[in-house]
Amino acid sequence: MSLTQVVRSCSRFAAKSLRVTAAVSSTAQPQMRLMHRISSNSPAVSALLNQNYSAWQSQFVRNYSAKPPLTLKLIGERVLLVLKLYDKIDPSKLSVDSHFINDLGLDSLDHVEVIMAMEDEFGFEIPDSDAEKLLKPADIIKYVADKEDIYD
Amino acid sequence: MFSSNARNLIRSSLINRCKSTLVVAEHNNEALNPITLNTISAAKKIGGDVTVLVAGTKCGPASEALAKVEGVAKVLVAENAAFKGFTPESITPLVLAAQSQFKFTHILAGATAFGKNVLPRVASKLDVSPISEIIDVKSEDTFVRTIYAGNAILTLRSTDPVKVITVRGTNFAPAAATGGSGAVEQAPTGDYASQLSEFVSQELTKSDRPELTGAKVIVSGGRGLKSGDNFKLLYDLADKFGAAVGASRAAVDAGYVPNDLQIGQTGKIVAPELYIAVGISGAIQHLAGMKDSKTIVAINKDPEAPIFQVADIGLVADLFKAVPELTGKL
Amino acid sequence: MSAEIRSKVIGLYKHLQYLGREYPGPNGPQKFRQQIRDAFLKHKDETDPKKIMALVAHGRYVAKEVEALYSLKKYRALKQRYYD
Repeated sequence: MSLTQVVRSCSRFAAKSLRVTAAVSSTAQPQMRLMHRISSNSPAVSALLNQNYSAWQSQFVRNYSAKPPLTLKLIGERVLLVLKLYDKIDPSKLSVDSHFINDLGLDSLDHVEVIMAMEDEFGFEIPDSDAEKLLKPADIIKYVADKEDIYD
Repeated sequence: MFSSNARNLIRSSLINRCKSTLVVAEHNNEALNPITLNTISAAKKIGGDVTVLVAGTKCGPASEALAKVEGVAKVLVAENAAFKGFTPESITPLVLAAQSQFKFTHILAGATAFGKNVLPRVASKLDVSPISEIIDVKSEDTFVRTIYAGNAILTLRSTDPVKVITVRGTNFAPAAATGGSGAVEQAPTGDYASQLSEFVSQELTKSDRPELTGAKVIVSGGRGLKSGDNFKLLYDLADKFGAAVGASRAAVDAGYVPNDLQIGQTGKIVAPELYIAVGISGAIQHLAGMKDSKTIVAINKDPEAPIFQVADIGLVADLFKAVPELTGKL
Repeated sequence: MSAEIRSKVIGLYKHLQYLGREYPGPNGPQKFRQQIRDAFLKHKDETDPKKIMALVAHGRYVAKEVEALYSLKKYRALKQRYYD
């Protein structure tokens, strides 16, 4: 595993908090630079440090200029996480291929709310004509991958 | 280009030469309406001389009161039977005659039914655009007014040679009523009887209550009162405070009260110290009318009513029990 | 329900939900969300396009009222900071 891939895996662990640390590190403070150097050397320690940072710097900064590098797997995890957090969905029944209306028992308004949650998560608007075709998490993953040009 | 600059220079120097303001006074042949004092202080803010025009069938009390107002240079009196009823068709030629004699640069009146009736006619005869309900004066040609039901504030600069303006009284402090010495003169005479319209009669709702726009305390009712008779509860409560009574648009539309009690976007804008809203759900057109109140109290049966989000003090109770109880305790 | 009316209804629902996220009060957003959901579900069997458009117009009126409520709340909050 190369160094950049290590750093990327840390980013997946705590995507938002690393952005905070990156922002902080850009303010040229010597301790921060030291932390950064440590992080690139040993992955386990860096993960720990990043998690400590996220504890007391809990401001989430959403930078739209540079999104985290997406892969199909990451998209899939994020979609399933958002769906698990939705209170009308039973997490035990949730899988990538479960149909919202038939299997999970949602109605059309719930479907609209799910699409709204996806818009918030990935940061782009989904028009109605596309939204009514997204009836399974697998569809959503494929749609997001199409929009973000991710081919794996 | 050179000549147009010179023309602009001459034009601007003509305008800046003498700022003088005419305030059209409002009175009811017995006493001066206090909004005239607010209008005079707005006129003083513009700068220049302030002349007040009093027109009516019996101008004595008003012109005497105005001669004592601080800052008034001259009072023009026009007493003529033609001004019965203060119709715009009779008053406008008088204003125009005064304008052509004294060459005023600004003509002001309060934003009341009278001012809003007369001044647009004056403006159209002078071929300028009237500026209505200003809330502030920034300079002699820049004024501030509200638009979109008070949600946005517009600063506008007028390039008209004569500026015709109505003034929202609640935004200007009244001018001091003593300490001035204005000269009382006769306004330009002429035949002001108008063939276009004739004053027939007027019925003023007589009440000893303070007028809605100037009251310090206002009790106002809405659709929750369910009928015009129930408004008696509010009248009793208002009597204890010496307060005025208002109503929301829903109550007026349902016919519970006459529409001169309406507060809101299409009614009156008020700014009392204490505003008690009884049985009002909080439809927003209404709240635009009273958002400048110092303290807002709401009484409503429904704890989810949006008015509780805006009120400073809220009481969730059945108003038919709470209002009499409140009246009894005062 | 034709496609354009459907998209209008869904657009209104989304607009109201986004507005409701900041509703004041202790449980404001959840209560508001539930109220909107119930209001929409009550009329879900409507098929007459005119009636649907009338309901959509009412929904837009409610959205305007909520926006005005927020602006008024901010106005009052700011005004009170300037009291002595």
